[in-house]
Amino acid sequence: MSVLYVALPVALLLGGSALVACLACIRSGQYDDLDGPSVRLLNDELSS
Amino acid sequence: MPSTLSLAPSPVHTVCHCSHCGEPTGFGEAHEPVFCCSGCATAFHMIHHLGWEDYYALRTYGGPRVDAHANIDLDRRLILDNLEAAGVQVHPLTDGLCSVRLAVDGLHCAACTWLIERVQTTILGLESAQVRMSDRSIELIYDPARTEPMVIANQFAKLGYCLSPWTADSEDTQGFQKQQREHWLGIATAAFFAANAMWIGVALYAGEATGISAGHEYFLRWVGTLLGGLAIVFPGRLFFRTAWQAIRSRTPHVDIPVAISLTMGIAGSLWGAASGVGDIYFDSLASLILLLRIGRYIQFRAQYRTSLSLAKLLRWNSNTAVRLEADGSRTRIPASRLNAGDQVEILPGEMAPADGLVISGDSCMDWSLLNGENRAKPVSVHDALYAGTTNVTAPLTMSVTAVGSETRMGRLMELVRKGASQRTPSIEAADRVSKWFVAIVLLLGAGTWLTWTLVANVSVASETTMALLTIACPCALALAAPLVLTVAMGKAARRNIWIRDGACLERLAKPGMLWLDKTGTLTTGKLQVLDWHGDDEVLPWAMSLEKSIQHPIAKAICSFASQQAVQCVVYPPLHAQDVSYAIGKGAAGYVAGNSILAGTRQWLLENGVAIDDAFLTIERTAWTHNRSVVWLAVDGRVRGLFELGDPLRPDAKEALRRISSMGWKLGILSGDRQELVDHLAQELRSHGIDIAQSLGQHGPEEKLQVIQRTKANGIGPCAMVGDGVNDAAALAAADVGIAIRGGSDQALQAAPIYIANGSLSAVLELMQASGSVVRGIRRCFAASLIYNTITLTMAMLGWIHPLIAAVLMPISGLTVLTMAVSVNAFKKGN
Repeated sequence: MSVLYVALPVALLLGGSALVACLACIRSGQYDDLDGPSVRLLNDELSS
Repeated sequence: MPSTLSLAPSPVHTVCHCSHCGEPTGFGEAHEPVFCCSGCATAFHMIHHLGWEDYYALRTYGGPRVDAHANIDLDRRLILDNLEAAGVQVHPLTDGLCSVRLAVDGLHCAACTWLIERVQTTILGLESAQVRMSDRSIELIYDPARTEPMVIANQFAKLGYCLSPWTADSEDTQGFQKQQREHWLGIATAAFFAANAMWIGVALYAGEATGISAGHEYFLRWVGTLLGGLAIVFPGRLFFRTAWQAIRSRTPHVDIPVAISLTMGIAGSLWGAASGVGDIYFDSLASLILLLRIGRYIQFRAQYRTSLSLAKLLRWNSNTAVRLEADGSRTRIPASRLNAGDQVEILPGEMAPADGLVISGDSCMDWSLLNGENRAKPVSVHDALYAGTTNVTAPLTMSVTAVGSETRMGRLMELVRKGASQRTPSIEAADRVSKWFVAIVLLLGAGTWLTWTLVANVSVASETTMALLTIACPCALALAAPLVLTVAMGKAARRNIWIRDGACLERLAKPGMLWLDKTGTLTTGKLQVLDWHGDDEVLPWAMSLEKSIQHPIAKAICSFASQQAVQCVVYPPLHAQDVSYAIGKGAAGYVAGNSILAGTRQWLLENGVAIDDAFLTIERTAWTHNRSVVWLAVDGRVRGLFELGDPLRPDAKEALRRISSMGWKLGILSGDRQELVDHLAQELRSHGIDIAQSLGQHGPEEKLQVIQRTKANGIGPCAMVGDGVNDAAALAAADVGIAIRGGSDQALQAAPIYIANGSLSAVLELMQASGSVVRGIRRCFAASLIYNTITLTMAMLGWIHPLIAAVLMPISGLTVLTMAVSVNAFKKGN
């Protein structure tokens, strides 16, 4: 059961890296406009 | 035609909605596209012509209403013509292109974004147009050699989207973006620590139940402590910081008890972790911090939206003024730069930029912004003019006496701002409940631990206390009310009722006093031709005469003629010549060689027209129904008679009857003449309107006083429904202020509730929904309280094992969540 001493920090590190990625996304402004992009997707498809 | 006053049988029409903007429109057949105005028709055909019907499928709200002659007004054109002077930053890009950010009016939903960005492809020289929904702005990238912002703005105006300079609150928005990101960062980190601390907690409880090696338990405890500690150091720091500031400035603040609870939790857990015997609460602490951060974020959003709509309201006078210089020249300057003593010229169609006295000129002023009355009042030399009134007929010169916040309009807006800021957001409930809950639970935990240590031994005591702390879940209690309200608000928004302050929805549950504005709220607010006695073939002639005149009556006749007599419209269109106009009397001109007169009976007599007895009788009947009459004469002979009035909203009677049957008292609060109010009150008497409470001639300030009086001595809530800026102060002061879409006044979104579909039945829906919401909240509270009391008692008595407690805890939250979502407010079809 001593695997716990390795697995737990690894799990936390994995989760932590996801958190860091999420924070980077927020900082870069990806979440500032939540409605626009969903429609813009349609726009590109139609105009192509 | 929703003619509620008519005597003659009017043609059968169903109430239709404009195919473009969705506004109720009285005319036409249900299966054909109908339009409220020619502007909307143009936009509709333009969209179809370009093959973009998908817009109508994509959108969730009605589109923006387009002004009949869709061209941006003079002020905006001046500003857009010279962006640099208006303080708008145009950024030159590397390849010779320019980029500029402008504000867009008329955005409703994602479909608008789609449409605007599609239109971009049809405008020459416009490289890209990116809409940002969150702050209603657009970034244009264009080629200055091939086009300019004015041309682009004109194109968008044709679809009903007005572009205007964006500078005014760009700093605000940037601040908002920054703060919003900080909130999100806090929530994200808090969620990470809470989730991880919680599953470590679960592992510990499971170990307690099934056996765990001492080494593992020790390790898990320390990891849990570390996560909880980080949660307090990073996302939780906020509460300690504000609490410390509050203590230093000796002002009470909600964060002080929150910080005390958190400190108690930390101290207990640290001791537990260090000694290895006590309990650790780090999982509870981390989730508490997450909940509090979410609560703070919701509160921040609500406050920002309030301040934004208030800023919009206070910018009503962002127009320009023409100042007459000493040497007789004219310069156009922003109204904010006027001083008392300046002389300004006000052209027809323009708004007075400040309070003042007329120096020269005779004209009519439209007071609808100030008192809601839709009849223009004549003014001449030495008469007082108020900022916010609109010049209707002829140019005026005015000497300025007061500007900006000194004007009557400015003082009124100050009242609105005060009324709106007195309101405390209801979101703090989450903080309030959870902070006491935590303190009580911690006390109970300490008590339980002590008692069980004395009665039994330390290990039994730890087990019992752990079960207690696990099972005590503030989520259900704290989340019930906000959750039910949020769900109801979401459903309401889908029905075009926008609720900004959820607490208002709760207040409508008990019947009280409901005040209704007359013009624009009970009635449609638009002067309409209600009846026409005469030959349809002369209608095109009347239309071509009235087309050239800027007057509400002329506009009403034009739209009536174009809708009623489409089949007789002559191509090419007729043009009236030698049109002359007498204020308060009528118009005269020549159409296709025939002399046409339209106006009062007096005007016709003055011009030597013989009056028919049959028409005289019609005129008298019309007067008894409070309608205005316009006579039409062709070549010296009376050919017809228009009856004009402001019709009731089609759903008004039914809605009022049902609201009054719910126990509400109904009163009219209007700026219009008392006799008109009395007449309407008589008509609506059988539908619940109280004759004694039908007040006319009430300006904005008096309306506010009536509301304050009602609040002071009334039983039950005081609600107000209004549509104009003149109602704004009363709406903000009332317990529940409901603004209804009428004069398409954006400013009114400052009211806590805004009915965007412009129907009075929405008020009824709100009241019915309010009942369900309040019952739903009570049910959730009761369920949560019963649940917590029973389980806490059982835990304290040592009947519940920590593992079972860990399973029971989320079930409590889930139950409340299900109950909240299933509250059937704003159910379809009631």
